[in-house]
Amino acid sequence: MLERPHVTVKPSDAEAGRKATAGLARRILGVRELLLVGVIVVAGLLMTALTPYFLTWGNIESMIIGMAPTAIIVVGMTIVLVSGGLDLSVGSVMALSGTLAGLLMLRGTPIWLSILLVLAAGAVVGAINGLVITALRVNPLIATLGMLTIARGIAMVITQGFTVTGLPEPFAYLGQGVLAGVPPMLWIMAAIVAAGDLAMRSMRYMRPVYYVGGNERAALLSGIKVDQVKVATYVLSAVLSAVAGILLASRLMAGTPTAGVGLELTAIAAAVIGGASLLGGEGTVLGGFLGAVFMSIIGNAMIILGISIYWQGIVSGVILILVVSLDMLLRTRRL
Amino acid sequence: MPERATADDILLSVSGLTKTFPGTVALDRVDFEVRRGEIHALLGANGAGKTTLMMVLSGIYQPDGGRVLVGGREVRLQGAHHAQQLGIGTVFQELSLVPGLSIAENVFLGRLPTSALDLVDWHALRRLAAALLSRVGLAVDPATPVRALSPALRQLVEIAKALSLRPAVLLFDEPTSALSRREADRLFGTMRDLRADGLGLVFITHRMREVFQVADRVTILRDGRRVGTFPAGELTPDRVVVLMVGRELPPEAAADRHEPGGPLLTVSDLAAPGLAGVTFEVRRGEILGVTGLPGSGREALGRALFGLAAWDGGRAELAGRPLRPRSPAEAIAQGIGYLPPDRKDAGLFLRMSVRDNIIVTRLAQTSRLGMMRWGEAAAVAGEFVDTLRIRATSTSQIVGELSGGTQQKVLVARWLAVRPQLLIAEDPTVGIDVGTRVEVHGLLRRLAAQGSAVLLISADLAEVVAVADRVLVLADGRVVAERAAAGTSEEELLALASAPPATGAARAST
Repeated sequence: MLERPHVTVKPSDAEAGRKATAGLARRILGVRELLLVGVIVVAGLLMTALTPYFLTWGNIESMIIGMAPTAIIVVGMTIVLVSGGLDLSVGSVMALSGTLAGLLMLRGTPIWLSILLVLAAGAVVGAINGLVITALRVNPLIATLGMLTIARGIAMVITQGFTVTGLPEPFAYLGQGVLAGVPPMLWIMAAIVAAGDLAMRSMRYMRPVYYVGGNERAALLSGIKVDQVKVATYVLSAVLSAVAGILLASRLMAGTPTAGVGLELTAIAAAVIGGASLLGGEGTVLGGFLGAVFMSIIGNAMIILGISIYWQGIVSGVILILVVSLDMLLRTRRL
Repeated sequence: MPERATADDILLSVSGLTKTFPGTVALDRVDFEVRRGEIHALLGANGAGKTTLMMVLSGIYQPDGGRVLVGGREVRLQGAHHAQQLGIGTVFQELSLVPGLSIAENVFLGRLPTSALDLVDWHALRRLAAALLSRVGLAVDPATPVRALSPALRQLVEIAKALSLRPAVLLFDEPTSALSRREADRLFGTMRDLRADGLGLVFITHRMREVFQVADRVTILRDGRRVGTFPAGELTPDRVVVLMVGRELPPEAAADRHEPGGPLLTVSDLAAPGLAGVTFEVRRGEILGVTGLPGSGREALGRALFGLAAWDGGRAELAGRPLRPRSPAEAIAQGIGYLPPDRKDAGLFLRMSVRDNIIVTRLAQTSRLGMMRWGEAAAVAGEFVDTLRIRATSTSQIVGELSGGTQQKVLVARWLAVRPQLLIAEDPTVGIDVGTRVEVHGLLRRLAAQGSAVLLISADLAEVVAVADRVLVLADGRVVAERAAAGTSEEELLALASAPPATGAARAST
C-alpha cells in the first residue's frame, strides 16, 4: 500500500532509495511513443480483423487526409503545453485562416500572396495571445478563450456566416493534387511533424521551452528570456493553425467559418495522450502526433463499424480519461 | 547502548527496522526509541535515512522488516491517520496548511467541532484553538487567515494542529530550515515547554548549534544504519561530524586564502527596493560576505545586482563596464551568476536531467548552427558530475531524484560551467549536510582562486566568518560595518547587525 500522503513531504533521504524505481519509470515514459505505436498497431489489427474495409489504401489515405489539419495543430499545441501554457484559439484561428485565404483569393490576390498574408495574420493573432499572457499577465486559459471567440467572430463577420466558395482552381493542388502519390498536404504535415519534433528535441532556440515549462522562475534566473519564449510558442501555434486552415480550405476548395469547432479540445487530448502534461515541461511533438493518429483511428473505426457519430464524443472522452489516469497510476506507483 | 529508562518511559521504540527501495536499502536494521520528556535529535548526512525513518514512524511508509512498539505494544502502522490515533504526531517541513482558511480552521481541519444540526460551532472552535495557540506560544487571533502569517508562525500553527490530536510523540522534519535564528530560538522554547509536559520530541536538523542547544539525546544515522545514540552532553560538534560522515573532514581553515587582485565590481550609492544607498567594492579572487538580519537589505542586494529589482539610483561597474541589469539575462551576459536561496522553487528543473540542469546557462556554447550538440553537453555535465562528486547514477538522471546537497552541487555546477566573473551565492548551504557544505564552500573558494569573485550573501554567520575574506554587515538597507573575516567573530557580526542605527539618518527607506 503506497498511497500518496495527503501532505507534501520533503523527499531527501528517501530519494536515494527511489533512484532505481524512478529510473525505470523514466525509461517507460521515454518510450511513451513506442507504447502508442504499439497501441495503434493493435487497434489497426483489431480493425483489420473486424472489417475488410479498414486496411485499404482508400480508407487509410482518407483517414490521414482527414487528420492532417489536426495533426499540424497538435504540433503547435504540444509546444504550447510544454511551455506550461494552453491555446484554446486554434480551431477558430484555423477557420479564420481558411475564410480569409478564400476571400483574399476571390478578390484577385495571387494565391502565394494570399497564403503569405494569412500566415502573417496567424502570426499576429499568436503574438496578441502571447502579449496578453506575458505583458498583461492574463491566464492563458482566459486569454486564448477570448481569442477563440474573437477569431471565430471575425470569421463570421467577414463571411456573414456563409462558406466561401469559387476559389481559383490551382489552389486545389495543395489538398487535392498529387505529389509522389499523395496530396501535397500530407507531405507538408509530415515535414512539420518531423521538423517540430527535431526542433523540440535539439534546437537551441526551442530547448528553453522545456525549461520555461519545467520551472518558470528557475528559467528566468538562468538567463532565459521567459516572456519571449512564451510569445514565440503562441505565435508558432497560431501560424500552424493558419497552415491547417489553408490546407483544409484547399482540400475542400472552400473557406468554412464554422470549421474546427471544438478542435482545441481534440488537439489538447491528442497532445496529452502523447505525453504532454498540462503542468508543462513534458511532452514531445512525435508523441502528440501519435496521439492524433490514435484518436483518428478510433474515429475512423466507429464510422466503418457503423456506430452512430453521436457516440464519438463519448468514446474519445472515455479514452482520454483512461489514458491519462493510467499514466498517473503508473507514475505514482513507480515514484 | 544502556537502557536505563523504565519501560513506562519509552513512548515509542523500533527495533531492526528495515526499509528498502528497489536498488537501495534506505534503513538497515535501525533501532530507535523516544522517551517521555526528551528532545531527541536525528542527525545524518543527506541520504543517511533520517527522513525515511521519520516517514516510517509517522506511518506514511510501511517498513519491510522490524518491530514498532507504541507504549510497549507492538503495532503495525496503517498510515498517517493510524499513527496519529496511536499518539504519534508529525510536523512536516513543507507545511500542510490551507492559506485561505483561518488558523482555527486549519488547526481543526476535517475535525471542526459541531453543534446541533451538524453546523460548525464557531465559539467552541475559537476557544479550543486559542488554548492550543497559547500552548505553542502564538499570541495571534485564531480567526487570522494563515496567509497573513510568516513561515515561522505557520510552523507554530502546524505544531498546534499536531497537538490538537493529543500526541505523546511529536516528530519534526527539519523544523528550523526556513526560520531565522531568532525564530528558531522561539520554536525551541515551545519545544522545551512540550518536553516539560511529558511529550517525546524528535527533530531532524542540519544545524549543529541546534543540536547542542536543545537536544537531550542524539541519534546519528549513516548510510541507512544507526551509528549510535548518545546523550548530547557526551558529544562535541567535531565528534558529531566524524560520526556522520565516517571520516575526519579537512578543517575549514582560511589556509588557502590568498591576496585578492584588482577591483572587479564597484557599487556606489545603490538604491533599490530595500536598499537605501549601498557602496562597496569586490576584488578579483575575493569572497565578500554580506550578512544582516532579515530585511536588512541582504537579499535585496543580490536581487538588484542580478537584475531582479529595478534600481532607484546609484552606479555600478563590473570589470570596467557600467552595470545596471534590467533582467537576469542582462546580468548573466555581463558575467554574473546567481545561486538562489530557494533552490527548489527558483533554481532547479526538478523533472529534468542533471545534464539539462547544468547546461541551461550555456545553451549557446553547447550548440552549433542552432542545434544542440548533445555529446558535448553530456561531456560537460559529466565532467562536473565527476569533479564535484555529484552523486547521480548518470547525467541523464532526473534532478528531483537527488538528495538536497547533491541538488545544490548541480546548481553550483551550472554556474561553474559558465565561469562567471561574479557569483552571487545566497544562503548556499541552507538545508545541506556538513559534508556537502564543506564541499560547496570549497567550490566557491576555487572559483575565487580562478580570478572570479563571490558575493556570499548569508544569514549563517559561521559560514560567513569561515568562508569570506571580508564581511559587509547590512542594516536598514545600508552598509553599517565592514570587517576582515580573519579579525571578526560571529558574536561581533551579530552585534553589528542588531545594533540600532548610529544616526537618525540611517532609517530604512522602503
